[in-house]
Amino acid sequence: MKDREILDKIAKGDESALKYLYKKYYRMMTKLVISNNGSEDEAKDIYQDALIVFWQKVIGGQLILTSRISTYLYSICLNLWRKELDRKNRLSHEEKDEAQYLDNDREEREKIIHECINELGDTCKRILTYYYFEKMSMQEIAEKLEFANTDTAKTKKYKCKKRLDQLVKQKYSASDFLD
Amino acid sequence: MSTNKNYFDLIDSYLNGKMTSHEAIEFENQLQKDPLLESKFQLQKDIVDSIRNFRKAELKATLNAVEVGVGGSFTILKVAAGLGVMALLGIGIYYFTGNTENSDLPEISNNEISENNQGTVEKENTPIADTKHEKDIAIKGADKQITNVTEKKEKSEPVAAETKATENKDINDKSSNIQEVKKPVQPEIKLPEVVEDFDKEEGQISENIKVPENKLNQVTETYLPKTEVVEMDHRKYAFHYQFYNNKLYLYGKFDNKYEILELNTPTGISIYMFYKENFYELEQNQEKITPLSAIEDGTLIRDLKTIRDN
Repeated sequence: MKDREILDKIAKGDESALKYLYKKYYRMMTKLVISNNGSEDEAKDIYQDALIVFWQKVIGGQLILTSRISTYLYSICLNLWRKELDRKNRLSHEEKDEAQYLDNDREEREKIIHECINELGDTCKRILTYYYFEKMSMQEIAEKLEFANTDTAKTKKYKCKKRLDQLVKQKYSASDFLD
Repeated sequence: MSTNKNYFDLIDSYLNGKMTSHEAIEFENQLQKDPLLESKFQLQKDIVDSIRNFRKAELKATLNAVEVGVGGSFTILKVAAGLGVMALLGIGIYYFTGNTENSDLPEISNNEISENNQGTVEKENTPIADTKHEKDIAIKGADKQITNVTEKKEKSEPVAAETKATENKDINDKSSNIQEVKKPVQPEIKLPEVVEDFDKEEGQISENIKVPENKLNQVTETYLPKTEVVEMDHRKYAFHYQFYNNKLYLYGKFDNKYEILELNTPTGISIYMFYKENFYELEQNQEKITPLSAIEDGTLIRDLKTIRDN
């Protein structure tokens, strides 16, 4: 597949193009991290994160690509790996305990919300993730999920979100997070 | 009820980045004033963040299930080597320096160094000074003059020696903090060398230096912020550098065999790198990845050598 073709497919949220891209540059991108003191797992993690950032930007229409996809991906990997090295460096020096404490709290809340998302139907999951993560427009969501029109997508999104909010509030009060 | 829906929409468009920066600031102000809105916002933020993380985890799982084939077969390398890089980042050696804020700073000169700089430094025959502090000042003074000369060489052609001497004095008067920082990457090796050098030159320098005693107690120790250096292996850039987040990134295989020289000059800090017998100027505002090219100006090289040998 040519770059142009890949971009078009990703812009439509086609995950097969994402997988194709992942395979194609796996070796090149992970090598960057591995040859800069990263483990293979770290390399894989960074590459996946970079690819997901790319995915988000292309779908969200925030990216005007002037270089080749590989060059762009490579620069995201590089920046992410630098940040990770910085983070590791800082954590090895200080504030480990406090960061840990905050993380625990956040993780706990996130776990609860995660359970709630799983209770939603598949359509609701798709709508909400497309809207908040991929930042697709209502029209794109309507096309992707084959709704009659944009208004249907809007209404469904609103209802799904309300449903999720309710579920979260119930679970939160059950576990004494709110009040 | 309608206000409820209103807030819901406001929070939603804020969290999805759909506000203009002006609207966003206004919304943030509103949040600060209204604790109830703030708590609703916090809940919404948690939910939206979780939806995003949920999707991210989903995509990662999709990618993890992809068979990467040949690309996936790596030997596990350098797991512990990460520690090495961390250690590298933190290494630096600092030279102490005098606080020269006082405007009537004494003329300090050094025969050997003035010769290196084509006699641009005013000479003075002076009584022998041999306390530890005086020695420090002597060496610092020398560095300072070299630095000044270096500065001038960069931007101007040679001028008659007398004029230069006066100009030097002017710059001395203005400059507030002249320091040299050398940052060898392997301090275990470099540190002792540096100390030896001081001892060796004690005789020569102190003979030519006059340091008024009333200035001695004004000497303070000052640390310069060090430049953090990160070596990166890059498939495209084999001998390049850039500054990014106040750190120096070197691209290529340097094998830690470089030295960074930071010179504090009246106009700011100049950074040079010494690598395999060549000097390179590193411009701190260079945020793009740029090829390294060796300095060819003979006098500048000589000055840098003098500084490096000290």
